[in-house]
Parts: sequence; structure tokens; C-alpha cells
Amino acid sequence: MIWIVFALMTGAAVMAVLAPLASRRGTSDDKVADIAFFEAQIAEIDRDRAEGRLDASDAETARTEAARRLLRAGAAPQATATLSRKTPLIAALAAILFIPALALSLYFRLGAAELPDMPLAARLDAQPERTDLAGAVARIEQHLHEHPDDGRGWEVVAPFFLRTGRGEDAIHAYAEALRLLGATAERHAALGEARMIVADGKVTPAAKQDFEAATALDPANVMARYYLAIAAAQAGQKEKAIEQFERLAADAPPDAAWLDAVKAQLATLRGEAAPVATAPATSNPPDSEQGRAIAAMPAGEQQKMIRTMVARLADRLAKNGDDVEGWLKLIRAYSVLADTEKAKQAVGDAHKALATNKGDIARIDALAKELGVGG
Amino acid sequence: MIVETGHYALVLALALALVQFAIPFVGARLNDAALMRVARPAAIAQFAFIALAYGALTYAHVVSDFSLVNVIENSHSLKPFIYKISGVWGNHEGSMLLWVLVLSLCGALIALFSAAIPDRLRADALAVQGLIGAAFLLFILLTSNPFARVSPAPWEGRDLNPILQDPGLAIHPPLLYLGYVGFSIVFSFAAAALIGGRIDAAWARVVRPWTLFAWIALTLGIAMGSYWAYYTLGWGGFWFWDPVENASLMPWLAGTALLHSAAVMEKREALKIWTIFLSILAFSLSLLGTFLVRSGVLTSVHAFASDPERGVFILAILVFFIGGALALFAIRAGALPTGGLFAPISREGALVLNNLLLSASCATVVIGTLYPLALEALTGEKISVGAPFFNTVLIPIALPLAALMPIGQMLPWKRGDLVAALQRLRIAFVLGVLAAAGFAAAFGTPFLSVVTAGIAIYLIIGGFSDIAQRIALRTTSLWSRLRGVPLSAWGTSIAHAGMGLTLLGLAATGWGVETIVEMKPQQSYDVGPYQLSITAITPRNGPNYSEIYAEMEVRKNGVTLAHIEPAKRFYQARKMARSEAGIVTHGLGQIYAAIGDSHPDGAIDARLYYKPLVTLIWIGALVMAFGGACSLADRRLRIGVARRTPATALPEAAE
Repeated sequence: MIWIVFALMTGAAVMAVLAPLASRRGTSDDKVADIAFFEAQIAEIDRDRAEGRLDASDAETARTEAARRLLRAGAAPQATATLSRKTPLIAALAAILFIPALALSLYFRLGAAELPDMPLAARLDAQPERTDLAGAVARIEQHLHEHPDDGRGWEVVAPFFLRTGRGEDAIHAYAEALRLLGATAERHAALGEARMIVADGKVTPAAKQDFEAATALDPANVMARYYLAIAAAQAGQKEKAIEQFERLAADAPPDAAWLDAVKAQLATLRGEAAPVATAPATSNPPDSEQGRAIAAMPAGEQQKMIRTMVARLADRLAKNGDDVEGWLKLIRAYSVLADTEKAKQAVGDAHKALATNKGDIARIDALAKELGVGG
Repeated sequence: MIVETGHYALVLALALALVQFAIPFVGARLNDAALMRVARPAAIAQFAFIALAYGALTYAHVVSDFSLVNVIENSHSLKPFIYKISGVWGNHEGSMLLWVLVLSLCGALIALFSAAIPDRLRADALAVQGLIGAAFLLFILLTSNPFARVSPAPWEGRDLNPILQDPGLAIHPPLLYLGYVGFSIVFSFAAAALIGGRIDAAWARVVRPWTLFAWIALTLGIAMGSYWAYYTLGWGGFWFWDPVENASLMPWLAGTALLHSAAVMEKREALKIWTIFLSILAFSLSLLGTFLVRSGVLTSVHAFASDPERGVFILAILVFFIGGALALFAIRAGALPTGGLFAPISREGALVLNNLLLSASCATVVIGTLYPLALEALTGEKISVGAPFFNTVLIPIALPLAALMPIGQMLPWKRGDLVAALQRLRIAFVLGVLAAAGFAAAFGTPFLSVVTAGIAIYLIIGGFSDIAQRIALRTTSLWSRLRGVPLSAWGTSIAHAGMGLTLLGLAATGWGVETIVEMKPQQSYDVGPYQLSITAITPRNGPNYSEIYAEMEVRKNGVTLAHIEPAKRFYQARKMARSEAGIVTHGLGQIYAAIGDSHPDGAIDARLYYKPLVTLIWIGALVMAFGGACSLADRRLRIGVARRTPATALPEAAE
């Protein structure tokens, strides 16, 4: 079908060139055109004079000037165009060959004749393919654009937004679901979690409000309690965070998947390095279905990685303490992680390990003083 | 299928453009009538195929066909309908397609409306037009193909650059392109005259209306673009001496010079070679503008297009056409017959002076635009040439030019009397001085604004003095006296008055007030004679953006004049913010507010401006364009009447 259209178009293009070549009409000559022009100009001056736009003397001057130009044009040599039979034939053959040859060869290089038009509306109406998740989301979005009061739709699409990095859209979707379907602890917690992910893992005041609303509706909601404990930890309320995590662990069924994550958090807060080292494997947050997205949390991941590396460094120095650069790095790291206790302990350990070298001890002390963790 | 049909139509248009060049060109050399006749249908068919391609691309944008890379990168399914259409030319590929569409439209117009001109001239002109078209079609197909497809197609596009999602964009580029590319007609005719080695009598008659047409479109396009920048960029400025803006100003200045020299040539057969040179220059500067915008050598507020590969291609086109035309000019110009002679003090002489001043302005803008680029290319040093340079150089050229405009109108053709012309302008002089005094009393300093405003008033009054005296001198009834004034004389007066209005608007920028404040709700802030206060700051959702807008109340002497809603918009798909200024027009001035960051205590940063008479800048441009249209409507075959002035000591020019 499309090739028939292409053929017709090519034919039309070729015909546009052939038609004038076939005609046997003569041509206007340069000189004739000039003479006609000046004659028209003189006629125009006469008309202007007759209609009163020019007064008599002006008209006379203009007329004289135009007449002079007319005379000059009439005296120019004649150059009549030729009418040959052969050249148009050559030109016609060239056009017949050239136009399709260039058009087709270029189109074969550039075009995609096999691809049909794909208007979005038609694609959305078409039978969805099972594997096409993006298409499904697009369909739901289209539907929601037309029916923005479909709370169920917002709720379904929200986690997909979150997974594909469209955090703001996810927050909007969760908020709409909450507004339209009514408040539940799960919806509040999910909204709070989305806000937290958008804020690079920080429990923002808005997110905290959501988690508090969730625990108000259901004091046992695990996700909200977990994140509230994180919020406490982030706010520097270590004791409160530990207490909350402990209660969460106590309430947990023994086979709960999120128990490991809670234990890892507890270990970190208490300053126990060992469980943290293995944390990446086990620290799945609670409510695995939605909580998995937390893995994409850049800030949290960074924090985790730093802790793992610090723990490794501490292990190495415990075995082989003769490394002043290592100790300096470790003390600095604990200080950055706001773990003053451990930093102080590290300063003490360094003193023991480097006791033989006065210069090194002085460097350790200088850093400890600078960071305010002097032992 | 529609999309691929459009793609194929574009390829066919390239083939036709090459045919449109080759066959008529050979025909003109062999003096073969049949071959020369191919030019017209080929030009019309080429336009039809490009229009088909353009229609297909528009269709793809409208139905959000995300199998086209161009649609993915510049559209979004939720984008409002109007921006789906304007988005077609709001990107590199689409705007280049619009460029060739307008180019082929110009070719088709030459083909349709050139019955009166000799076949050989038309054949050569259309051949050149075809060659330009072929070069740009090749550029589009090889480096910027708007019909590139992807499969599988994604489900959503990346949206159009938010700065471009504005009604201004719907009108600005097409007008600008009509102007840029309209000069291609004049260029083609100039090249044809040089190739043919003769200037036909009809040449000047053909060139002047096309120049006017392009000039009107360019004037409107620049004014539209300037107003668009004024209200979307939120800086309160209307001209930034940005290279992309300069790119449109350069052909405008050259085009204005061309317009005047073409008038001389049409009426007096003088300045022929100079007119041909300006014809080449005007389009060359359009090409230079296209190169600057499209090659990515600049990074500026005009946020689209950047690709070095494309740049080299356009540069090659640029060098070929400008270099070719200038080389042709150098070889052939000497052989062309020169036209009529005239005394230095005459209408022709005044227009030559006008041409020199406009060319000097044009050169200033070219240097100011290209020098930083050249410096960066050679030394890597980045400098920016901005308002201080242009103002310092251009104001001393522009003000004398404005002062000379009414005098030129008063001088008769061929030989004139300067003293008599000045005497006839005495009313305009007096009113100009009085106006300057009045403005000084009302607004005070700066001095430059007062002087410029005085000159502007003199220009407006002086522009109409000629007509007033023509009417007053005759003895017949008023109606027939009015009829006696040719439409083109009205056009001149109106266009010059438009220039005066724009000048007045520019002068008034010196009296504007600008304040940058942290606005607290319910508190009143003074901006010039007005008071602004915020009543509420509210978030709101648009179709493809969310925004925070401030409801502001504008008062003067306790009376509420208007409510405005300056806003800050955030476009989700591109993660880009854009401000939307709130503007009230009161009288001829405007109050302009743009908001910035909000503070936790409910206050919000805001820039507030009072701009007296600012609308005159754009009204003046509209008036100029209207004057041009009046002149364009006057299709008489004219001869400038050389008045027999009373015998004086003026040098007698030989015929």
C-alpha cells in the first residue's frame, strides 16, 4: 500500500517536470519585456494625471523620463530564445531517471517504510502485551488523566512510579489514593516512605507526620514504626531510636523477614560493628513489597557502604596496628559518622599500638584535639 | 503510513529542488524556452511536497506518535494542543523543516507571481532558489532528520522546553523565518541579475515588494520575539543583545537599507549595483543568523540546538552561498550599467546617507556578535559584548539617523534645497523641543532619555509634515487632496512615525523603576507611582506543570487597578522551572512583577518594575509594519518625479 502511494508521488514529481518540457510555446524576450514595462509605466503616469494624483508639469517630466528609457530599451540588441527539439528530450530523460533514482536510493538509506504510524491513543487502546509494564503504566496514567478521581488507579500506579525514579509523581499518586480512598495506616506509611525516598532517605517533617498518622490509626504498623525509629536516629536521639527498634524486634514474629533489618539497625546504633559488616545482605527493611524500593535510597546506601568500609578498617588495625595513616583515617571516619565513643576508643587503641613512635602519637593527638575527641 | 509518506515527500522535494536548479539554469545558458519553463512547476511541486512532509510531522506531534525521535524529545502526551502544534518548530529539526518550507513557499510565490518578468531572469532566480533549497534539504535529511524513527516506541515523551511553551512561540519563529527566508527571493533575483549580466527594467519592481514583504515579517517577528522574551524570561528586559537576537537584527538593518535603496532604484534607476549588493547582504546575514542559531556555536537563552557536526554543514552552506554570491558580484558588477545620476542634496542623496548609517549600524552589530566568538575560537578567552558596547556605538548612529529621516522625506528627487526642506520642518522642530522640555519636567533625568524622546516626537510629527503640506498646497476638495497622496507616501510617513514611537518607548526605559524586594503578604510596596501587595501565595496544577503563584494587587492612589498572578512554574517531565511574569498595562506603561524563591516565613523574593511608555516599543513596530503594508499595497508603476526647483546654485547632474 505505502509503495503505491510512493509510486504515485514519484509520478507526480516527474510529471511536474515533464509537462513544461512537452509544451511548444515560445518565450518572452528580454527586450520585449523591457519595452512592455516602460509602456505600462507611461500608461500609469497618464492615468495618475487623469485622476489628479500628478499635476501637469510633474506628469510631463515623468513622461519624458519614461519615454527616454523606452527608447533606450528599444535600441538594445534583440536576443530571441531558441526552441530546440533535442534539448527538452534530453532534459526529460534525465528527469525521469534522476528523480526516482535519487529519491528511492536516499529513502532506502533513511526511511523505515515498514514502521506504521503509532498514535499514542491507538497504542493505548490496543490489547496490552503481558510483558509491557511501561505500556500498562502509560495506560493507567492516561486513564487517570481522564478520571482523576479513581483512587484505586492512583494506588496501583504509585509503586511503579517509585520504582522508575518518578518520586514526585509517586508522592502525588499516594496522596491522591489517600485522599480518595480514605486514610489507613498503610496508605499513610506508603506516602511517608515515598516522601522519604524523594528526600534521599531523610525522614522529612512531612514524612514524619505521615508515619505518625499511620501509627495513630494502627499502633502496630511495622513500616511506620520502623521509619519513625530511623527518624529518631537521624535526629540524633539515639536512645529513643534504640528503644523503638527494640520494641519492634520484641513484637516481631520470629520468622519476620524484616527482623534482620531491625537487628542491623540496632547493632549500628549500639556501635557493634560485626553485624553491620554483613548488613548489606540482610538489611532488607520491613514490609518487603513496598520497602524494597528503599534499596534505591542513595544516601542510605552510601551510609551503609561507609560503615562497612570503616568496620573493615577497624578489623585490619586490630590485627596489625602499625599504620598511623590507617588510624588517622579511622578516627576521622568515626568522627564523621558522629560516633564519638568509638572515635575516643580508637584514639586510645592507636596510642597503645603506636606507643614506640613519638611522632605518630603526636599526629594522632593533634587530630583528636582538632576533632574534639581527645582521649 | 502518514509519517513515512511525509518522509518520502521530503526526499522527493530534494530531487525536485536539484531539478529546479539544473534544468532551468542550463536552459537559461542555452536560451532554451522549454528548459527555462521547468522552473515554475518544479518550484510549486517542491513546495507541495515539503508542505506534505511538514503536515506529516505536525500530525505525528498532534497524535503523540512516540516512534519519532523528534516527537519523543520535544513532546509530551499531556502537553496542551496548541503547543503540540507549535512544538513542531520549537526544536532544531522541526524549525529547519519550517525554514525550508518557507524557502520553498518563496520559490512557489516567485513562480506564481512573476508573469511580467522576462523568462530568463525568472529561470535563473528560481534556479538559485532551488539550489539553496537543495542545500538545506540535504542538511536536514543527513544531519537533522525529523523523521528518524525508533522501535519499540516509548510511552511518553520528554516534553518541550518549558521556556518555549508559550503563545509567543506559536507566532514568533514562523514570522521571523518569513522575514529571514523572504530575503532569499531578493538574493535569488540579485544572483540571477549577476549571472545573466543584465538588470532588466522589471528587476527593481520585483525586488522592492519582496523586500517589503520580508521586512514586514521580520519587523513583526523581532517585535514578537522581544515581547516574548520580555514576559517569559522574567528579567523585565526586552532586548538582551544576545547573539540570537542580533542574528535577527542584522538582516533587519540590512533589509531596511535595501528597502530604501530599492525604492531609489525603482523610481530613479539609480543605485542599481548598491541595491544588488544589499540584496546579497540581507540574505547572507539571514544565513549567518541561521548558522549562529542552528550550529550551536552559541549557548544562550535560546535554549535549543547544539551539534558541532551540523555546525560544519551549515558553515559549508554559508560559505558556498555568501562566498559564491560575493565572488559573482566582484566579477560581474563592473559590467552592469550604472543608473541615473543625482546631486548630493536630493532624495537620493539622503537615502544614500541613510544606507551608510544603517550599514554602519549593521556592521556594529555584526562585529559585536562575531568578535566574542572569534576571540573564543582563537584564544579560548570568553568575553561577553553586551549593552554597554552596543549602546555606546549605536546611539550616536541611530539618533542622527532619526533626525535625518524627516529631512530626507522633504527633499525632492534628483536635486533639492536643504534650507527649504528644513524650513518646511520647523513645526516638527518646535514641537520636538517642546516635547523634550515637557518630558524633562515630567520625568527628569537621564538627559539621554529627554533628548531621545524629543527626537522621537520630532520624527513622528516630521514624518507627516510632507503629507500635511501636500494636502495644504492644493486647492481642490479635501477628499481629492487626500486621494492625491499616493499610498506609498502614507506608508513612508506611517513607518517613520512607527520608528518614532519605538524610539519614544526606548527613551522611556531611562525613566523606569526597578525594585528587588522580599515581599511579605499583606504588605504594600511602592513601585514608581504604584503600590503592589500580595494577597495570597498558592500552589496550583497545570496540565504538564505545577506552579506557585502570588495573587498581587496593583493600586494607584488607593484605587485598585488590577490583580496579577506572577508565577513560578515547574515542568515535571524536564525538571525545569520557568517564571511567568504578571503584567498590567496602564496607559502606555506597564507594571511588571516576577517572583522568585519563597522563604519559610511566607515572604517571597520578587522583582517589581514600573516601565512608563514601554508598550510603545512594540506598538511602534506594529505601526512600522503597517506602514510597510501600505507601501506594499501601492502597486503603481512609479517614477520619482524630479521637481524643477527654482534656479539655484546647486550642481547640475548630468543624465
